[in-house]
Amino acid sequence: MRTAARLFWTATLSTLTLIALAGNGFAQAPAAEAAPKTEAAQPVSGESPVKVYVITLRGELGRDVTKTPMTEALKDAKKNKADVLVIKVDTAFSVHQKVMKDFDDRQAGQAFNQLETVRELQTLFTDSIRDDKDWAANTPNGKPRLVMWVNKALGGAAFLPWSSPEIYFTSDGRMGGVGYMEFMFSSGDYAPIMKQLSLRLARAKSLAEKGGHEPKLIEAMTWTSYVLSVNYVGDQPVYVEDASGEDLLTDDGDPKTGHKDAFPDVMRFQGNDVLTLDAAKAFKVKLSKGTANKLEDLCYELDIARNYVEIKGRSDAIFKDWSNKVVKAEEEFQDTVREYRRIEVQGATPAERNKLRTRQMSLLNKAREILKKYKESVNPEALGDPENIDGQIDLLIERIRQQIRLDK
Amino acid sequence: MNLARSFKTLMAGLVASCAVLATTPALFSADTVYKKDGTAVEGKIQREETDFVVIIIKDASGKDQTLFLSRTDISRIERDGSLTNPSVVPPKQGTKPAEAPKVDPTKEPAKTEAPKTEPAKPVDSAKKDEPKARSTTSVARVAFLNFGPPSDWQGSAGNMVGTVVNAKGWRDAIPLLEKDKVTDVVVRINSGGGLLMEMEPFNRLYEEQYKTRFRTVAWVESAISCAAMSPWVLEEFYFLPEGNIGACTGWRGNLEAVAGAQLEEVKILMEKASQQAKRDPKIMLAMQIPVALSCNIDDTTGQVTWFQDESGSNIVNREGRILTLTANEAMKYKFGKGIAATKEELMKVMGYSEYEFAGKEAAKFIDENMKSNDTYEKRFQNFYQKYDMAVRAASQIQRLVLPSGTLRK
Repeated sequence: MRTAARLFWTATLSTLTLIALAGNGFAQAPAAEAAPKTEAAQPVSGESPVKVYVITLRGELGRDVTKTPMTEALKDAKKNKADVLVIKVDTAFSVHQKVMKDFDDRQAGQAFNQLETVRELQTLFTDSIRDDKDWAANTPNGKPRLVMWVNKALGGAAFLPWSSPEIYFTSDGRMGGVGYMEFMFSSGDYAPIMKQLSLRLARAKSLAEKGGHEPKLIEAMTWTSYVLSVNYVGDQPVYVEDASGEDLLTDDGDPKTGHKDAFPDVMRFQGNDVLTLDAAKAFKVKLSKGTANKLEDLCYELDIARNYVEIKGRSDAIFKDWSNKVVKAEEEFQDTVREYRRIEVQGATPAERNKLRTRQMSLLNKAREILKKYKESVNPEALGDPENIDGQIDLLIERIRQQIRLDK
Repeated sequence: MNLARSFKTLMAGLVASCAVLATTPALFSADTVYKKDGTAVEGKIQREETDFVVIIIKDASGKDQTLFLSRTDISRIERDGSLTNPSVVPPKQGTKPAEAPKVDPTKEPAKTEAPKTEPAKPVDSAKKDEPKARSTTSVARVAFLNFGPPSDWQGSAGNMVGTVVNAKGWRDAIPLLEKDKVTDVVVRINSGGGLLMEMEPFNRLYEEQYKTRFRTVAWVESAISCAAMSPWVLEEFYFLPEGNIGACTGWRGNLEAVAGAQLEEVKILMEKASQQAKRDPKIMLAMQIPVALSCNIDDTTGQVTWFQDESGSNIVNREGRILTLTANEAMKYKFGKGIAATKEELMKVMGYSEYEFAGKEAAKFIDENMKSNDTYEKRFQNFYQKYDMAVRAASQIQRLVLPSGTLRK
């Protein structure tokens, strides 16, 4: 019913827009399906349009999506006095540039490593905006309405949308890839492993609670043996932690009882050992408030379709620029280290030798500066852990200083 | 799903629906949320936020179920017979109560070095057993001290108890708090734990020095392991909406469990801390070792009776799991005293209508202490290696020095 009504209104509005354009003598082809429509909706007379600012998160969480570009993008949204802040999650399913298959739901180990990044990042678009007295949105509390819009939130990014009360999906939207957490530690005693799992699960569930969402869904997404089904009271989901509910979301995944997902089903996103949410499921369990593929559809769902304007902000450029700089920084770091290694300290006099040593120190300091600026994003598997490298550089410089002192 | 299962689940669903909509146990204090679609949900409202309401309902078997209802779906709320307009919501996050007096930040000089005043001493033993009771007529002067850097520091400092967060720093902060006539201290916790050896000093410090001087409460973002056990003696735990506490299992090396006498020592310490906090020790035990925890909650008095098994009507922790409570769970089982997203909201749930934010110098001291400890921790290995290098260089220089004191060419 709701979908039918939405389609009717979208169609009606589109028709009205076309008629209005035709009346003005413009001939325009319908917008391509993939390209979001960015023209302003006609403002309601006498009311200023709702300013919608979209931040699209692409690339890898923790590399392309980190605090620096996010802070910059939010500053731009603030400067543009956004009334609605839409954060579209369309990230790569990868960790340290290793790309996973979308259907691979067995990635809790990697995902929970990204959870701390999520815990920190989400404060930027929740608490920091709340506490920023200078935000001037045209809303009752002067703060923008926060909307998470999920297209691809797999791996650690699956935890990102939960701290916002309003979540929407695209029709292809998926959230998951954080399952099989019981198996994330391959060695160790039972109790410490359970402790590690417990704290990670609680920290993820807590983000759901912050946004007012059902934390049991997080457990179902992550813990294989957790059984969750749902009954509907009216249209409200009431969860039961066994298989007795109307809709079985996850079974115990136990191979002994034949519940382990078959691989072909997993590849078709039809498994239920762990929960992967698509648009329909997310809407049914009331995590998602609606499904929208284009911004105008989303604005319809947000009830601002007749009076909004999309702000052409800099957020895309900010994130793209950051990603490019990270790649360049890694290359520059490696070039600098290579150049340092090529220097052979030779010469007839201490002055000649110490000149080369000074050059070595200069290169090491340069490498350290690069690392300092981009350490939140660099790939530790390519360069090493930035904290360790920083310490190693420190020691190398100290050693060179000693050599200079001794070579007199 | 086979037919039999479909029928079974359908019936279960119908029974659950009927139970929720048609019955309200006499002892279950009833709030009713009327929805715009004409249906109603009866239960106990646990939490009200700007965008949603959390309500606990009973399912067919009498067990509690948590429902999240969006404000946009609610037409009205009835609390024990009194109507509430859904548009009247709790204060927006970030809004300040009108009565909150402003504090002049210029009053507090930005000193970061260790205070030169005398270290705090315990008050006399007669007063020791009672937490600080503040005069109800005076305005509370509340200090917020970070036990671990909050997440909005964006990982700029570590959070390890014993290295970054230490009892000495907190002890040194007491004179600064007293100098500023602080009455209440909020211990804002965000830490993944640390060294067990720091736990007892913190327990003693909070019990003997803080609780006797200030109303000292915890406000939890994330209190894991040692970060949960260190302030466990505090009687009042409040939570951020994303708060969590628990996972107190001791381990070393490659996830090797602390066992035997050392484990018993920690358990005994925590039993004492639980007693000092007037809290059932079973809660902490379920956070330390994989034992079950359940409870019954008296519908009339709200009193919670705890069981170290799964016999209670509320299963808090399954056998074989380690307990970490989220904020809502902490509230449901009456471990938490309230949930607050902001300092102002915390003041409300702590019962204050009049208060001043104070103790900025102490807060800054604690923060600087964490930052410098973090730097030292990260650099410790380097310092040692540099020291070793310097010693070797010095010995080489000695060999180069002539008896006259000049360097050999």
